[in-house]
Amino acid sequence: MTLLSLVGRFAVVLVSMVFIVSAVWASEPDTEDASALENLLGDQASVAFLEGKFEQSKYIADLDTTLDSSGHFSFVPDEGLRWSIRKPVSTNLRITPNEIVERQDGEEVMRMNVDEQPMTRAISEVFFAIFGGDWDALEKRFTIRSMQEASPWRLELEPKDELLKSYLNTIELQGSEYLEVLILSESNGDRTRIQLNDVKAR
Amino acid sequence: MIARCRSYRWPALLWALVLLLLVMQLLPRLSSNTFDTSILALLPQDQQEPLVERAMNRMNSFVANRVLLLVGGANADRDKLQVLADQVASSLSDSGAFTSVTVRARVGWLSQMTTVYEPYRYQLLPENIAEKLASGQGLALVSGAVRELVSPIGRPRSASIIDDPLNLLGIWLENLTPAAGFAVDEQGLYARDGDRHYRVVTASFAGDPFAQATHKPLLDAIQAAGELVHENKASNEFLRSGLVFHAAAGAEQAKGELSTIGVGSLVAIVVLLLWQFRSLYYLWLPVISIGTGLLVALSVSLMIFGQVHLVTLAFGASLVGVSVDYAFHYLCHVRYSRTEGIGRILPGITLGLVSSCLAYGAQALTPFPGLQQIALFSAAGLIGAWITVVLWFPLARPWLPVSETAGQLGQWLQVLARFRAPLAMLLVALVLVALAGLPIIHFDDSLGALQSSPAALVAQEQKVQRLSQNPGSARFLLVEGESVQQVLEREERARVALDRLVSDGQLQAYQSVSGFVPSIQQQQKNRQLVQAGVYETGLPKQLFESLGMSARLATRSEQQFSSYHPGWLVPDDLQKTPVADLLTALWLEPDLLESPSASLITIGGAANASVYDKLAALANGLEGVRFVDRVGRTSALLGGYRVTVSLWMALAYSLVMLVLIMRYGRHWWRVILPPALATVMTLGLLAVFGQPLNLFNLLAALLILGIGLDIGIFVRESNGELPAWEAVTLSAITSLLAFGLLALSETPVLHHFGMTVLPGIGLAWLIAFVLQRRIQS
Repeated sequence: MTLLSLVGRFAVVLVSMVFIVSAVWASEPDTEDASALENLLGDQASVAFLEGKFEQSKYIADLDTTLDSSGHFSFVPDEGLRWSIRKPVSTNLRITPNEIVERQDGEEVMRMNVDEQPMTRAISEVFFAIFGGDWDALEKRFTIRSMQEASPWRLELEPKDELLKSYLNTIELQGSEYLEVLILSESNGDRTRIQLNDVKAR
Repeated sequence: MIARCRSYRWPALLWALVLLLLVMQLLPRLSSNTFDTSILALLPQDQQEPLVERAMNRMNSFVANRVLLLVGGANADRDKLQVLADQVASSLSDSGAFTSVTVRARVGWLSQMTTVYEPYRYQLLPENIAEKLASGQGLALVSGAVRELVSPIGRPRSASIIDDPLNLLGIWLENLTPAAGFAVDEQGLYARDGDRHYRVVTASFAGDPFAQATHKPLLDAIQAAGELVHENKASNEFLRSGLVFHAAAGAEQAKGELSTIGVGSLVAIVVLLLWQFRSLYYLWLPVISIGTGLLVALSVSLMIFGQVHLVTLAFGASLVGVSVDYAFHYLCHVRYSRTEGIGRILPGITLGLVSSCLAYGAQALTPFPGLQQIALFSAAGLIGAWITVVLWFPLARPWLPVSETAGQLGQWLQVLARFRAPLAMLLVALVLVALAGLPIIHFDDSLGALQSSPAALVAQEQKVQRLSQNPGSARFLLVEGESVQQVLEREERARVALDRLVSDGQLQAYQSVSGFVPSIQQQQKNRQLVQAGVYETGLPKQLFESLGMSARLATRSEQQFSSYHPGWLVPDDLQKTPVADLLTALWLEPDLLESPSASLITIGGAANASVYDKLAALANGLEGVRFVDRVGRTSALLGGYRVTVSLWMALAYSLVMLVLIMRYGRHWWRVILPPALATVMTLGLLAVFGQPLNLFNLLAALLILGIGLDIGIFVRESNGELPAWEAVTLSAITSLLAFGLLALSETPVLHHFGMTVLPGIGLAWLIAFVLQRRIQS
């Protein structure tokens, strides 16, 4: 799955952040697919700071086992997203519009130019499209379906792009007041569930 | 007189019939493919080993029928550029000029590669990972694998975690660079240069890239695409790369200049003749002799070679200056007398023909296909013109007006004769200057000196090559071996040094087959490394422990490794993958006569020219590896043939000398001195002006010999009579004008030729004029 899944993983983070952010300011979810999304996302212009905790459980199909990890995250528009994993190992990711940097024990272990990876760039575009209020970009990449309108609402995003599709089946989003759960179903049977807790915004 | 006329009639009629037959066989041969424009066709076949020849042909076919187009703009306009690239591609594809146009990435190429490589996951290690395992730094791989598993953006897993706990296969795949300097995104290939973004469109076409029939539809399509780019605000750069662009530019230039030189030469002759003879009849006869000469030259050349090079044709146009000698000689002679005159001048023009044919005939013996064509073309043209003068001109005698007084030119010459002393002093001065130049003559045989593509096109080519990290097909490593495996092993030995050059920043990149399929030997080594460095040191156990997972998984992983022996990956396994084309291009299948297998390692841009020396030294030290430098090779060939031509020219002079001694006894030197001294002086003067010499200057020296001899012979045969002086002066002036235009040519070959012939003929005339004691009227 290699590159595709790599891209997929970026997609996960970035897209998920999109919805975290969006959910915080979300009003009542609307039922009209794309416009539902738009209503859900609301007006992002004034986001200054966002933080919270996450718990991730990844089901690995070929081991038939679940790998748990947890940590906290923060988001500042100018600086990007910090995704700090604390268990089972401690490692920090910083994602900006241009690059992704991973540090472990204070040492930089990976630095990747977003431009160098095929889908990463696409996803980072999606990410910043949200903040720029460019809903068309999201609709361009995903078919959006509303699974349940009443609280807790559920949305399902299905990639349109062939490359992304070959890795990722769907992204499911759940929430009531704001986005609480993200479920990513990969085409190889792996499934990642990310639960967001204690989300605070300024 | 009437009886004499009749005696000419039958041979004249026969000649007319021969010419008619020549026209009839020539017409069906004339097509757009009649004229060859490839500079390579002028060079001799490489007599070196056939394997090198095959390798170079492979490289040629690699670049010959492909074009690479880059649509560039600001990085911020990336999406718009991509849409534009799509439009460019569909415009090219709709034009029908190309057989295929590619702008989109092949979806799923990586998963195809993964499927092929997956069984061999324990045998494939990128160099840096192999080093880590060998030096006991395997633990770093464990922490990397852990991060990848828990981080949402870890490197993708290509095999199951049991089969490949450290994700070695994922790392291997990530290190492949099938597109060299170009990156791939979801929309296709692109390149980035600072804040500039370039979308890549590749296209291939059928047909000979040097054939003019190929050029027009192709250039029209590219131009239409270029207008799309031009109209689009997002893009401000449209770069093109491909052999065909250079071929087309070269052909365009040569054709344009050919007409300039041809027309210029013709206008010069017309004006001169009207000025001298003041009669249209006198004008028609030289035109007829030139015309039949060219007709004979072209049809004989096509009969023998099938195709004639444009440069041959350009020199053919310069034949105008030589074959018109015979016509002038006849016309200047009959102008003063009522005889038919051919008998008087026959020995002179025949000796001129024989000596010129000897001089050019020597060129036919050199191994240059272009030289052979030129030799045959000019000899045939001269003979044709000579026959026309001898057989047809006397028939036209009754229509030629006769004048008792000297023509304009004759009067001028008589005036000029009074200034012989100052002219002699001028000549002596020039000889002294030229002598000063002789010791500083230097030669430049580099192909670059002959490069004639427009600078803008060359700049585009260089930029594309830099962005693609692929500097074209001029230099590469050639690896041969007894078997496929031996070739791969030898490649790997060479790659150790290449990797060092790349990491030192001296070499941009390289592409090799073993980069995609390691030799079995290397695969065995890798497997041993994985066994010792990963499994025997218990890395899987540490991995699963740090993930808080069952130790049983590590045991399963170890069992999987020790019981799994998939055999070895061989090049054929990659035949159905997207890199198959690349590997096929780099692989030379065995053929019956040669070393069984061979491969090419293509070299990316080098930091400086000394890198090539290092590559050559590297290849020297390795068995079965060679560095092929086509630029250097061609220059060496040009230099070698320059020496050869010098020797042939010495031979030509000796032959001519023998003929002259037979005819003139001890006065032979008076005839040969004009061309010989003029040639030496010309080379010396060029050196004084800092012009390096090459093969084409020497070829021009052969022409000086031909024309200079005519001057010497005609004057000598006529004992310095005014008509002969008028004739040689007319021909010298027309030749100067014709070759003066050649010196203005932007095509280096023609330029060098013109720059040599121009002073050469002038000096030959001056020497003959100074040597002559008096002009008899």
